[in-house]
Amino acid sequence: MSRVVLGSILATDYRQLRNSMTRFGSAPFWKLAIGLFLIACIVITEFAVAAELFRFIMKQQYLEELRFVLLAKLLYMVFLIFFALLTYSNTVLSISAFFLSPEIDVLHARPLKNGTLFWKGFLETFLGASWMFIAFGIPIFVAYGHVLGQGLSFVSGLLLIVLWMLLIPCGIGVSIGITLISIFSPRQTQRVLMIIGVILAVGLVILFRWMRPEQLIDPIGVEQMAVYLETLRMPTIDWLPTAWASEGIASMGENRYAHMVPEVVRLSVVAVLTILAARTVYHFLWWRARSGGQGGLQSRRGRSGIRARKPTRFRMTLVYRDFMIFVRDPGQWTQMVVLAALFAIYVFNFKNLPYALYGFSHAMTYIAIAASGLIQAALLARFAFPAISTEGSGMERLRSTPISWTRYFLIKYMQHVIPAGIFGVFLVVFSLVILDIQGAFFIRSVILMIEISLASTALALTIGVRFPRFDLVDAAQVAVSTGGFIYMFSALSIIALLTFISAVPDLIRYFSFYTPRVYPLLKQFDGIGSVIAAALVSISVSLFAIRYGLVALNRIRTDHF
Amino acid sequence: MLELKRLTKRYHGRTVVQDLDLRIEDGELYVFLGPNGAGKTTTIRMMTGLVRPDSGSVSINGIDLLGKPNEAKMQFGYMPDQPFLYERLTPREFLRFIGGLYRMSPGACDREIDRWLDRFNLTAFDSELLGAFSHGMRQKISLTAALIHDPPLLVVDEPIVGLDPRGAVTIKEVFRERSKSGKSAFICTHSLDVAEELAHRIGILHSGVLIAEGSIGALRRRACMEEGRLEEIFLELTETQRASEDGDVP
Repeated sequence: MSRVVLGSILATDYRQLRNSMTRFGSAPFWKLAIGLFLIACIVITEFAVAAELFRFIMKQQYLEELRFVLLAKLLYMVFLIFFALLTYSNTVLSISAFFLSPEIDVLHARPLKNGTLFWKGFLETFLGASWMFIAFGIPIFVAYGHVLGQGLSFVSGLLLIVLWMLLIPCGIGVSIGITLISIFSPRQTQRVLMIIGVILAVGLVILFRWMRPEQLIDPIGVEQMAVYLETLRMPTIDWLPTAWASEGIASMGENRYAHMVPEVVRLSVVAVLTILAARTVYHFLWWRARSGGQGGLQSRRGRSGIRARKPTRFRMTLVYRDFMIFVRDPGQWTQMVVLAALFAIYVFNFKNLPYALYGFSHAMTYIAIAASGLIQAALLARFAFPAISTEGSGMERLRSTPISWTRYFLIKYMQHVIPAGIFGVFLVVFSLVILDIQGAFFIRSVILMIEISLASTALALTIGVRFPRFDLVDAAQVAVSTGGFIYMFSALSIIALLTFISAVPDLIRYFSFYTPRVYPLLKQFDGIGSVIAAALVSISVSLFAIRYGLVALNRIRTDHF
Repeated sequence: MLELKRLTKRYHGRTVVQDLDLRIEDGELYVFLGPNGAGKTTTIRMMTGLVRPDSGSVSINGIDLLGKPNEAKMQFGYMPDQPFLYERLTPREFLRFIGGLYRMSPGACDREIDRWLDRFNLTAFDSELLGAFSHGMRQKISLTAALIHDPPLLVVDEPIVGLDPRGAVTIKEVFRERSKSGKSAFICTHSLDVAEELAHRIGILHSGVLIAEGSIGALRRRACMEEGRLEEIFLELTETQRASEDGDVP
């Protein structure tokens, strides 16, 4: 009986998918096609890069058996990273599947066996968390088998190992998720996990950058690779499923197929045990967790976290509202962690510049300013560009109030240009100090960054108004919409233009070696001339963008909602 | 017949529903009223097995909801105030799915779907996706999902909100027809007109406690009023209760 009903629930999921593909013309088909195409591109690139890396290691004949050890260690690292990510994403998804999905009430009010709902939640969590590994992890292992001359039997063995390997973090994640909800409320837990997730992701990126993967292309070759692997300082723990999985795959790669059997047996036993553990946790804790979570709102009534006096002036009202939303929404302020990571990577890259480049300090400064402008534009795309869209259906309410749209737009502009400008200038000053730049060129560089900030922010807000997405709740989704790409393209263009104008004096000086007769004429443009020209362009672009943004803002009609 | 005995629920030390005793006979239309935050929704969620009570029991037609949840759930249909519908399904696909959960045969399910879609004037929208439906249409589909297996008890939360006048009349007719055939309904609403028009008995919940119960006449007597509409009776009873909780009345 249970299985029949589970089948019916899954059939409903399938019908929804089918309808969403067939009922909306060709748009969903093209979206799917483009999505699949992009995934295929990534998978092929990943396969090619991984295969090239494995081939590179295998070519180092003098290392003899050590090559296989290195490959096995690489496989182990890949598994370990994926295992950590999978456990995390299974935990997060299990909270949605078992507690937050609106479907739960529909199903729980019906006469279903308890087990049916567990398996539905488990399967939903498993599929939701595992597809990324299947898409992005498997090509690495297939590349490994391909380089070692393995065929279909390797792929079959690989799939068997991966299946058990994916079930283990799912069982662990579901158990952790349900246990956490029995202690905290679902929303609290999901927020905490989201913050941990951002920090983990940022930590991984920084760790990877710190390892300096560019050293791999150093002529010293595999010696560097061995050092590189050593720097990871990840001990191989034999009793971890990741070790069994990598050992199983390594055995197949070395044609020792019999050796993979005990690894698969170990993996399958542990997988079954973790699923049984998850089922037991569900049996004992789900009701407690669910009943505890329902009263969250009631018990926390009157406690909304940070409080402040209610502001009275319009400007303060708007700033206050945006500030409170920012502080209370972890999805917003955790982006600051990403910002810190961007800054850390920038600092690291700059501090590790080859000394040979220090001779080109002016050229390096322009590159630093352009890079800072790019980082700033990425931030503005995430915060300033969605500023109007994130008003959502509240825009309708705002339109019904007697507010000045010019003031509204200018307040939004000031709200973003000041922090973005400070951040950009901070990055540039840091770079200038590293490059030992002083005097007039220092001031010109800072002015250029301010000019870039003024224009980039105005463009972000204006293009955000021109391409509003009131249907999207998440600002991150708004940032990657069509308008977001148009903004990034516009911001890159203005950064390039302003940097070029500011660099004209240096370019003139450079070309004067080849055109000595023209140099005295062009010299007039030197110094202050380029600063004024860049300032005029920046202010013109900013004013035009603000003017156009105001027109677009007034044109936003309620039919957007 | 629905019977709640000493039903209690606490959240983080705060009692939301306290020792609630309630009994609904076959064919009875019982309307459940109360101010916002009184514990009505929690009561409904306990009655429908969505939340476990801390103490007390719920039995439907003599079947204990906690002891035999699936048998008890066969005895009622539930319509929440904000129904979740699968946006990418058609009404028929959704209702077939719900019918399947109650072990209905496809043929019987389709017959019921045709009957209710026709009754609610939704036959023309049979092949549209639910995501495109208006609030009122969603309410009708949600009610159909609660009615499809023809349960002896209907538990509905705000059934009339968002419906056009014709839809509202149809739903009230459905309640009355079911009542005549011995099937009862537990209706939770803020609409006092609906309560006045439909209810055989009314229960008023305040701060998790059932402060009054009975026909409109009985409630009027309880409020020491000789005449007056349900609105005035409700305000009188809840205000008196609030005043006594605040210590304003000895």
